[in-house]
Amino acid sequence: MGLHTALSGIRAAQTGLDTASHNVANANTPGYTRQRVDLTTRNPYYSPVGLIGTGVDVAAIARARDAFLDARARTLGAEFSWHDATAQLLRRTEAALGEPDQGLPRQLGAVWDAFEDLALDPADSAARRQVLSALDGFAARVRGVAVGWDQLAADTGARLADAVREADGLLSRVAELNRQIADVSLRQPPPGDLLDQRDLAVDRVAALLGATIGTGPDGMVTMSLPTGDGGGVTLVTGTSARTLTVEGGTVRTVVDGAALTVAPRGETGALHAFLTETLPGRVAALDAFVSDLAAALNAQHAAGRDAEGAPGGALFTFDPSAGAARSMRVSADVLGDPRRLAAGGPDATGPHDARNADALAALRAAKVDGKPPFDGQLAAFVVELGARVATARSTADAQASLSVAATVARQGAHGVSLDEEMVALVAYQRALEAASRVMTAVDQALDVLVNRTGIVGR
Amino acid sequence: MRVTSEMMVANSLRRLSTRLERYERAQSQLAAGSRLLAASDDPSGTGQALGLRASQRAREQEVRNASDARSWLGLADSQLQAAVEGLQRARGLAVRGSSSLNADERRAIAAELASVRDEMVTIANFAHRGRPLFAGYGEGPAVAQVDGVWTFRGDEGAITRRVGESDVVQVNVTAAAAFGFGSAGGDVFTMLDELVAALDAPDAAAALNAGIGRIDGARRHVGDALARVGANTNRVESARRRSEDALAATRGQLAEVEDVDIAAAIMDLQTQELAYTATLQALARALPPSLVSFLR
Repeated sequence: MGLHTALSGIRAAQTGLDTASHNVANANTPGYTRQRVDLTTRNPYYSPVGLIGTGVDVAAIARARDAFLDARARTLGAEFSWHDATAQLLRRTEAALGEPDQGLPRQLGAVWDAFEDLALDPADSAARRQVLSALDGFAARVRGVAVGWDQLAADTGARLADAVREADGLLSRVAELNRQIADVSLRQPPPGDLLDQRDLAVDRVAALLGATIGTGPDGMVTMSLPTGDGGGVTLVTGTSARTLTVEGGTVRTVVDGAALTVAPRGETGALHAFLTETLPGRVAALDAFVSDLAAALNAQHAAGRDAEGAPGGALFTFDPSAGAARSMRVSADVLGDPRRLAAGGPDATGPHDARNADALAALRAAKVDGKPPFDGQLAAFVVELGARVATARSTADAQASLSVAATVARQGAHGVSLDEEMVALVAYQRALEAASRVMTAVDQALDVLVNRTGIVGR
Repeated sequence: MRVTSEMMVANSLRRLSTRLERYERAQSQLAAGSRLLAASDDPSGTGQALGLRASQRAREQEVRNASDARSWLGLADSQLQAAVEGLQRARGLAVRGSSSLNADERRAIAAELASVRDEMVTIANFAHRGRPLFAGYGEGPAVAQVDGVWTFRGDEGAITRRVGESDVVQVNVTAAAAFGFGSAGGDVFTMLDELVAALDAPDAAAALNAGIGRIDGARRHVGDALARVGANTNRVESARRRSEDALAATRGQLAEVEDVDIAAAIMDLQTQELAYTATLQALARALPPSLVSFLR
C-alpha cells in the first residue's frame, strides 16, 4: 500500500509540473488565467491501530478568476471605448475646419477687407477682381469644410458597419463556446482554456457594444442590450445568438421575425451617436450661418447698382435642399464680369459712387435680425466645437486611467507571475524526487520481505 | 498586492505613451510659435484670439482708409490754394483795370483775366489717377462749356472714408461748393468771362468795381471749401493716430493670448525630452531579474 501512496504522490507532482509549465508557456497569452492544482488527501484506511492516510488526489485544476474584477474591467472598458471613439471623431471634425486663424474666419475677414478696398475706388477693375477673388475663396473654403465632413460621415459609417459585423461574429462565437463548455461540463469540470476564450470574446463585445453581461447558474453567459423604446433584448442566451446588422444608420436585431432597433453603448454607440446627432448638428449650424450670411450679402448687393447702372444680382447661390455649405458658390454672372458688382448707390449716379460698397463692407459689424455680427457668430461656432473637443478629450483621458487601473487590477488577480511558477516548479520537482525515493524505499523493504524471508537453511 | 511582469510592462508602456504625447505637443507648439494649434487646445483663448484678429483687421483697414483720405484731402488742399492765389491775381487785375483807361492796357488785362479763368478751369477739372477731384461721383471733367454756358457736369456725391469704427469723413469738395455753381453770385468762370467782356466796353471801370466785390465773394467760397478740407484733414489725422494706437494694443494682446514664450517653450521641450529618456530607461528595467536566473 505504501507503493500506491507513493504513486499518488508521483502523479500529483507530475500534474503540478505540467500545470506550472502550462502557466509559464502561456504567460503572455492574452486573456489567459493562471491555473492551480488543487490537492486533497485521499480517504484514509481504517486500520485496527488508527486511520492511515492513503495518499493525495488531484481534486481539480482550478482557474483563478475573479468575476467582480472582470465585470468592473468590462464596464469601464466599455465607457472608455465610447469616450475615446467620440473624442477621436470630434478631433477629426475640428481638423476639417482648419486652424482657427487660417480657416473660415480669415477668409471672411478677407471678404470684408476687399469690399472696403472697393469702396476706396469703385472704378478700379483690380479692386473689383479682388472682391470676386475673396468671395470665391470664402465659398471654396466653406465647400471644402462641407466635403471634409461628408468624407468623415462616410468613413464613420464604414467603421460602424465593420464594428457591428465584428460584434455579430463575436456573438455567434460566444454562443458556440457556451455550447462547447456545456458539452464538456457534462463529464468533467470545464477546461480553463475554453473559459478563457469565452471571456476574451465577451471582453471584446463589451468594448464594442457595452452590453449587459450575466452568467447563469448553469454557467452560460447571457448578453443583452437596451432597445430604442426603453425595453431590453437578449442577444445571447445559452447556445443561441441573435444577429446584429446596420441598416440606414441604425443598429438592429431580429426578434420573432421583426426588426428591432437597439441602442448600443461602447464603440458602436459612440459611432452611431456621432453619425446621427453630433455631425448633423454641426453641419446644420454651418448651413444656417452660411445661408444667413449669403442672404444678407445678396440683399445688400441687390440694393445697389453695378457699373452699367443695372441693379445688382445675387452674389452667392446655394441650394438649401443639398445643404447650403456644400453648394455655396459665387454666382456665375458676377464671377465672369467684374463690372456686375453693384458698388454704386440705389439711384444711378456716376462711376465713382461707392455707397453700396460701403454698405456691403459695413455688414462686417452689422447685427442682422438681432444676432451678433457675422465674424462673432463664426468665431462662436469654431470655439464651441473646440470646447466640445477639449471636453471629450479630457473625459477620454480620465476614463482611460480608470479603465487601465481596472485592467491592471484584473491582471494582478489572473495573470501569471513567473516567480510563483518558478517556486511551484521547484516544489513539485522536489516532491517528485521525494515520492520516487519513497517508492524505492518501500520497494527495497518489500524486496527483503518477499525474497529474503522464510528461506530456512538456504 | 500581487504584481506580475505583464502588469509592469503594460504600466510602463502606458506611461511612455503619455510622455511621448506631451513631448510631441511641446515640440509642435514651439515649431508653430503658437499655443493655439487647434481651437480645442484653449477654447476661451481661441475665442479671444479670433475676436482680436477681427478687430486687428478692422483697424488695419481704417488706417488704409485714412491714408487714402489724407492723399485726397492733400490734393484738394493744394488745388484750392492755387485757386485762391489765382483769384488774388484776378482781384489785383480788376483793381488796376478799374483805374486804367488805355485800350492797350485794358486788352492786356483782359488777356490775363482770361488766362486766370483758364487756370481755374484746369484746377476744377484736376484728376488724380483718373479720378476727378471735384466732380463728386461723376467721371468726366467737372466743369465744361456747354453751348457757351459754363456748366457743372459732376454731381453732389459725397465721397466718404471710414476712418474709425463709426467715424466717416467726407474727403471731397464738389465744384459747385467751391466754385460757386448755383450760388447767388454765379460761378467764378462765368464771372471772369463777364469781367473780360466788360473790359471791352467804355464804362469798364464801373463793371470792374462791381467785379472786385464778386471776386471777393468767389474767394470766400473757395476759402470756405479750404476750411472744410482743413477740418477734415485734422479729423482724419487724429482718427489715424487713434487707429494706430488701437492696432498696437491689439497686437500686444494677441501676442499674449496666442504666442508661445520661446524661452519657456524651449525649457519645457528639454524637460519633456529628459522625462521621456528617463521613462525609457525605467522601461528597460521594468522586468526585474526574476527567480528564473537564480535557479539552475
